Amino acid sequence: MTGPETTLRRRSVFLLCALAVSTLVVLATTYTLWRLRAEAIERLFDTADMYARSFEAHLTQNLNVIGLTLDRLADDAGSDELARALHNAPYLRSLSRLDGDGRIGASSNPRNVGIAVDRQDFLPAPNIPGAILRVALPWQGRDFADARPATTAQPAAPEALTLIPLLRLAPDDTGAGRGLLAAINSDYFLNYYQLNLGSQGGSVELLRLDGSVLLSTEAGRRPGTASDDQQLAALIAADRPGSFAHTSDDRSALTAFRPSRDYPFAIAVHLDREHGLASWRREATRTVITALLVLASALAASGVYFLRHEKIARQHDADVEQLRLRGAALEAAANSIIITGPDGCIEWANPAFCELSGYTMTEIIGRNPRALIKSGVQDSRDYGELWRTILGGRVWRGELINRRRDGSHYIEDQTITPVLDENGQIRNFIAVKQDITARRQTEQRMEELSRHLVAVQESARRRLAGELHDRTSPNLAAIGVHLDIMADGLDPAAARVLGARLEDVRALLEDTTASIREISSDLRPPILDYAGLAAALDSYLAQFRRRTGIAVDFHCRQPEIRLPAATESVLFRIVQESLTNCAKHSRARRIEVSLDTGGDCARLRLCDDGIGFDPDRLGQPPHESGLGILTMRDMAEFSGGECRIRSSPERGTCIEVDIPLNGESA
Amino acid sequence: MNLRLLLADDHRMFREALRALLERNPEFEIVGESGDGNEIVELVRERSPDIVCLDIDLPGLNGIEITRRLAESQPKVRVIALSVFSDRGYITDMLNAGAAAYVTKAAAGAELLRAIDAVSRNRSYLCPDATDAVREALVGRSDSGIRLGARETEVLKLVATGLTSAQIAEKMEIAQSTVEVHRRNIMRKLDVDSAIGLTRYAIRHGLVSSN
Repeated sequence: MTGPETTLRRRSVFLLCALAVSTLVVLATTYTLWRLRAEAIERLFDTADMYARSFEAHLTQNLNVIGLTLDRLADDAGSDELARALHNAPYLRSLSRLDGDGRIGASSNPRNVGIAVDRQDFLPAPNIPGAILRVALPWQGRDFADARPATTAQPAAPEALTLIPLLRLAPDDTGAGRGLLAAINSDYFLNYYQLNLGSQGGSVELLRLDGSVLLSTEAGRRPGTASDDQQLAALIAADRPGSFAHTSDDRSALTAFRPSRDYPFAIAVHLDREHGLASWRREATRTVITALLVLASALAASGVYFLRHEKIARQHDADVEQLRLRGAALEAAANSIIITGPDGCIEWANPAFCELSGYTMTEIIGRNPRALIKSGVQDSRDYGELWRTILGGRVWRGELINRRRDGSHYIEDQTITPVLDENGQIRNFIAVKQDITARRQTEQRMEELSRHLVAVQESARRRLAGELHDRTSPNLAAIGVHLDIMADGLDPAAARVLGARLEDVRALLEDTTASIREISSDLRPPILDYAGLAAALDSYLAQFRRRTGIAVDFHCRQPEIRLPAATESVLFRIVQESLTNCAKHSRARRIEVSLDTGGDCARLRLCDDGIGFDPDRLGQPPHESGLGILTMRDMAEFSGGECRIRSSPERGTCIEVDIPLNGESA
Repeated sequence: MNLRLLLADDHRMFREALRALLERNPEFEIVGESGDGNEIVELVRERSPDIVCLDIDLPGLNGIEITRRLAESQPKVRVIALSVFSDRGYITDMLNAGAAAYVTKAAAGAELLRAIDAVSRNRSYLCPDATDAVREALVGRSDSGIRLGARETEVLKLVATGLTSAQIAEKMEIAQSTVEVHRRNIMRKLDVDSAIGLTRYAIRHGLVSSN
């Protein structure tokens, strides 16, 4: 699994989730709005129905009053009586008496007298007997006197004043059509309806049960026309209340229809659907805006969160990769590494440790290294020091002899680091180990080899020096004696010729003898073997003094004590080496050499008053002299001793060599 | 009365050179010679020499041990130590063991004859190298006992007058390298390490005038 693929997948998942959530929110909002709209429409229907019910009750009440008014009048009432009965009733224009000839005989409005009113216009038709109220199509005008009846073919003009004639036939009328006529004030009802509807945005129609419009609050609706609405016609035919939605080209309306219980009228209330839904629409707009805002904020917030999360995830991926890499590095490390808990039990180890110890991974996890690899040959004090160090929170570094699974021992160089938690308590130990058995052996071999080399060199020098003073020097001495004899034996004449030559030969001989002596003394002074270190140093220092002019003081309190031959050699060589260095580099004027062989170690001390040097830069180019001092140090260490060098620029140099004697002085 | 000498040295050529040298003097009688340390004491008892010229470094018993034994068993026999070495350790050991004289082999010849002369008159003798070694430890360096040969003195004079080795070689009709050899010998004997040191010595000893 690579990073970019993971990122891509995560992003797709996030986008899909966001899309799903958005869709859900949109769907839920839409559903809610749809439900609200349905409820709003239902409420609108209820409202229309309530209006219809209320208007119908109002109408019926008024007609009841009119009926009662007509009942109280005598069938032959005169104009005065009619005017009294009218008694300024706001819902009536006039009360009249219709005589048998079809004309108004008397009226509260005297001008109506004589106006013909066609009784066939009324519904129910006059041939149906009974003192019931019958209604005719409206008349256009204020009262019968100045009005004309509207017909279906010729309805009243819109906005015009109209009256609706009501007829109650006399109880004893037998088809003559005699009765009382009331002119209903259309405006009263229109005003009442408009007042009640208020700003509702609808219209009210008063219909006759044959479908004709008696009055309507709707502008442009002409009283007298037949209703063209099929649904309305169906309800009228069924003579029962109901409601329906009606959509025409320019508007849609909700209609509640209610027929009068007692009279041939019906009320139809039309409420404008758009107007009724306006509050819902406002609510819907607010809801949509709120929902979109909430959704957008939610998406933005989750997007930010996702990006953040993704960044963290990427960081986490990178960290995991880093950890994996480091883990792989630890696994691949040639050094063996183990991690233990604070109790010392192994929690993790790398393959190199298994290889080194010979155990398998399953055998070591949870075990204590003490039980696994402790060899038993290590001094227990070393372990004590180890534990004191690491339990004290410090790093321990050292060498231990441990045991492999097969029982063989190995030397390891290890560093144990305690890992502390935030409270400073030890949580883990990390041990990094290296098997240095081979290195140790190599070092040991190297040391043996070096020692052997030194011995071989020493023996070669001794042999060469022996050869020089056993043969070469006596030969030269013999030549010298022969020369003396020859010089003595020359006759005076020959002596004049050869004397000087002989003396030159003699000089050559002396020079050769001196150089042979120097060489052999450098190689291996015989006196070292014969009389010991103190005597050899005495001779060497005298010679050095002569050769270099540097004053040398030699102190030895026990010149007669002989040291082991190897120690004498080493100390002599060290003196040779350091004095040679001193003569070459130190510009010293005086050197003090002291040898103390009294204790259990031989101590040699060489101090000069020269220019000194910086011991830290020993052995670094371009200080060739350093190499000589290193060799001295090596020689001292080969003999189990140590060589300390103290020096600082302009303060002289002091070399101290200690070589243990082990009580075996010769 | 002849002086009876016994030569003890394992180096045959050197022994023969000594014998040749000593036989030239009719007062000396070589009563025996040997190169084996183990038979010297016996040989001395047998031949009873006056003087034993004894190499220190003999196979078998070394010269110091032999001297010690001779001093015990035949104290009249005088021992002249002969050695290629001039280390103080050898000299003091030898003298402590009972030797009467110490001569380095390089100076054998004239020095040995001087030693024999001194010893025969019951005195002791150290050759110049040995004297230097012993004296140095006691009192430091001194000029005493320095013996320059005639050629060396001549070279020293010329050096002190400021001539170069090449000029000296031309003047003395010898190779320049021979002049260098003389110079080295002189400087070693005088224990100086420069031409200035040589000049100073020459002036101090009147070999050249200071102006």
